[in-house]
Amino acid sequence: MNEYYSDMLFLDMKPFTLLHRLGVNGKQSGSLAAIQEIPHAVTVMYGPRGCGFHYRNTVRVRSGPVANLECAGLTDRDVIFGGERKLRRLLPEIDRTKKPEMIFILPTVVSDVINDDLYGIAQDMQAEVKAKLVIVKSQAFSHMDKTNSRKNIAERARQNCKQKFSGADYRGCGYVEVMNALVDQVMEPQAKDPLSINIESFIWGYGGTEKLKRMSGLLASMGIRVNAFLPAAGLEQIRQMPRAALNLVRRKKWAMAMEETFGTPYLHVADLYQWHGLDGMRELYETIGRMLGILPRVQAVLDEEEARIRPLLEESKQVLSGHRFCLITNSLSALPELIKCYEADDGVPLRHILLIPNPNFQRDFAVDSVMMERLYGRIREAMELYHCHADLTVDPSAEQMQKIIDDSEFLICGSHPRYAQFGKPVMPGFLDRVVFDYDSFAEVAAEFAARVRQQEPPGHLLLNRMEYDPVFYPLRTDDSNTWASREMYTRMWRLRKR
Amino acid sequence: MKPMSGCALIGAARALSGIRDGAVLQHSVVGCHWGSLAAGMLQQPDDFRQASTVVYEENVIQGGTELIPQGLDNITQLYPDAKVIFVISGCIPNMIGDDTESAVDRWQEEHPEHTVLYIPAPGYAGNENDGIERALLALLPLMAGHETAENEIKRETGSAADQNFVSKKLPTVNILGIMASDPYSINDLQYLRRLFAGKLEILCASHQCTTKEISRMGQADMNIVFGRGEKLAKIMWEQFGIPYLRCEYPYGIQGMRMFLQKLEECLSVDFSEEIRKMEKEADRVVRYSGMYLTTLYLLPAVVTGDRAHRPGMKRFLQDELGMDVTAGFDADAGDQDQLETELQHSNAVLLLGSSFEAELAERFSLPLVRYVYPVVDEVCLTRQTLLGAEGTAYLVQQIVNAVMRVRYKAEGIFRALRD
Repeated sequence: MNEYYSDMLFLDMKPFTLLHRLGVNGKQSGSLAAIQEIPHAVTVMYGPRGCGFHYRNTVRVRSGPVANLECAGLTDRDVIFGGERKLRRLLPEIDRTKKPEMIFILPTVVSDVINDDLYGIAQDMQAEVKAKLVIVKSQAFSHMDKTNSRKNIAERARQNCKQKFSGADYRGCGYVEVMNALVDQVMEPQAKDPLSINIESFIWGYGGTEKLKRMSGLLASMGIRVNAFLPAAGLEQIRQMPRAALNLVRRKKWAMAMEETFGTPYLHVADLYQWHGLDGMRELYETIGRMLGILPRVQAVLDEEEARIRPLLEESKQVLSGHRFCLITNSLSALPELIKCYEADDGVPLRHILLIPNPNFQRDFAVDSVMMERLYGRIREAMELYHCHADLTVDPSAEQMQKIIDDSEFLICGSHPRYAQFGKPVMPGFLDRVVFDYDSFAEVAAEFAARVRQQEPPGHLLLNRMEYDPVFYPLRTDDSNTWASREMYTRMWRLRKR
Repeated sequence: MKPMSGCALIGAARALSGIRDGAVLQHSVVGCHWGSLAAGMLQQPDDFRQASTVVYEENVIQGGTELIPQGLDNITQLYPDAKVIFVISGCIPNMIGDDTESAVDRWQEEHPEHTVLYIPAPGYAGNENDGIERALLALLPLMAGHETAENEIKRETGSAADQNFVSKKLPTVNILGIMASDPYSINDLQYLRRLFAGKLEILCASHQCTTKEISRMGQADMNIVFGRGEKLAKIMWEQFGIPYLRCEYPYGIQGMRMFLQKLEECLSVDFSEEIRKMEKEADRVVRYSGMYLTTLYLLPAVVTGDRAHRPGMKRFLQDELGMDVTAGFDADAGDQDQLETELQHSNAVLLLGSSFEAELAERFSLPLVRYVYPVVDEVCLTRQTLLGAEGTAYLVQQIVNAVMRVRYKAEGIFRALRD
């Protein structure tokens, strides 16, 4: 089975995308996402029963309800007197009955207010339990602050198209809090293996496992060993993480902590699009090679791989070259990367670009007119840099859109079903296929080309009976209650001055 | 512990989510809002009438009552058709000593054109069932004839009592205890309405109703209480003289027959024709499923679930399928670790419960039939009911299919001997 498509099927079948349009979950969902990757680990949710109940159904763990989640079941008595005695009773019991290697104690908003000394309790209890006790420390209350997304957009606006984005550090993200706890409480100093790296196994897109497996294969051909994937590692592997000479990371806060404590440098892959294509992959591996001091060896492998793969890519590009594509997107800030990926890397001749941004983009993300102009400037820069000759239309009228789509043969719209009604073949959103080995890159290109050869638009698509919003898919235009819930979140949180 | 049900806040949110012209404002953190939506959204995928005030760290320090007027201003603006707003407060406002009730009252005084009801439901001070009871009690002021002055729905013109007068042609009942997020509950209600047509009118089913229907609740001849809502029913008995009938959820043929016969006794209606038709249909169901029923007969099973649904399901399995229900308990009373222990000492070969039992079922190699909240890994896109003859056939079908889908001893009956 192709992991990309199986991830799409199995992970997307639960309608959490819709819920994410209405708000976010508490940070514990991110913490559980990290801990679920760790074998033989149990989590104790240090909060009331409701937290221990509903967080089992968390978005980041889509395979099904979280199984290994215990709860302290704090009550009003614990709120007044502290819940310490419950934890002291629960930890040995879990240790005895579940026999985990690690027990994570996860704070909740209630325990953050009670402010029990969890570190002290863990220190006391460690002698009594075999499992390694790990206290996840709250870096923020409830959930991550909204300033992260604003910082991201501001950083993009400041950069030119070729600069690598390094993003916010996601303080208070539950996932990051667990990663920091692993650095602080589990990892131990090790003798360095100069040619080994750790790779963070988190949000590499659909088909992520296969991507990382193939990346490891390519690294091995360069003489670089993967010391561990984190957080998908057992206790012993996590202890030995500092053995690696480099961390390849998707979130940098924990990597910064590891650099400070163990002297392990890191390479931050913040935005996958920016490492897309032959040049993106080359830059990634060359950077790794440079940081490990084996650049010539890495370059030799890359040269060989590129030479092997180029004829295959040319064949695919040839198929695309005679056609007219229309790219439809909502993302003002990511459009430069999309232009690069499609036009320059994949050889998709873009005839039109339709940009349909969030009408409240400036309000929701605190973007002023100067920053807006910079974001549009980046788009113009990308078009010039990557020789994109498409007509860019922003927020088209229905009539304009019809005309533009009439002039196009294929639509690239991230599989947004709204555009199927135009009767043109819709190409699947291939950007999640950002891959990090040459064979995969050629395979994706060949698949894209095969779609162009074969695809006939469906004639009687059931989805055409529904009017999806152009920006906030899967919200429907006539679904006033859902829109109201979304707007409530915006007004109560996104627009809160703080 | 591994709780098998949520907290008071989740219960309250669930109990109010079926009021189609109401909206819920949770005065709590985002996780509560998300969690209560996520666990029920497969049953109500396009009906989000809930929002959060988003209590955050500055509110812990400075207090969060200022969020109440902001939240109410916004929610009344964004849900213009909402005739009542329920404010449910969670753990944090209570812990930091916010006087949320006064903040709600102040806003209400300044906005008499709106109806706002406040339900304190800190998660550490009650389980899901407590929250459900509290939320249902909060409906009382909306009922015409209630002794307080809040008995009209203020957006409507004229007095609630005049406008919502019920013509007593048929006996009337209210249904309490079922939630909109209970799987199949909306379909079950439609089934009951069809079944009762011309004989009995459901004035208000709290899991799928309007404020107008709530306002008429005080005029019903009887309240039907499925496991939950008894506190409200008792008060309605005291205030309106409406008797209430505690019932098991009527799964199965006998379950429905007993339910209808109880209604006949209490309300002087005649369901003999409906029972006759159901019995006839039941014969067909049995003919189709006979060979499966013989397999299930006498086999041990475990049933978990909430107090509204579990007793009826347990009775159905024991009394109608002849299964041996060996373990299980009310989800509010036990936790999953306890269930695991019971399973270890049980001979059960079948588990009926929620999606949250999936991992346990897998570990014990038990087929799992999901019949009770929360169901988060199965959808029902049809009008399928679990009630009556059709529902009985469907339940048996679900059980049989759950068993048949297991690749049991697929690598050889005696595979274990080869290891």
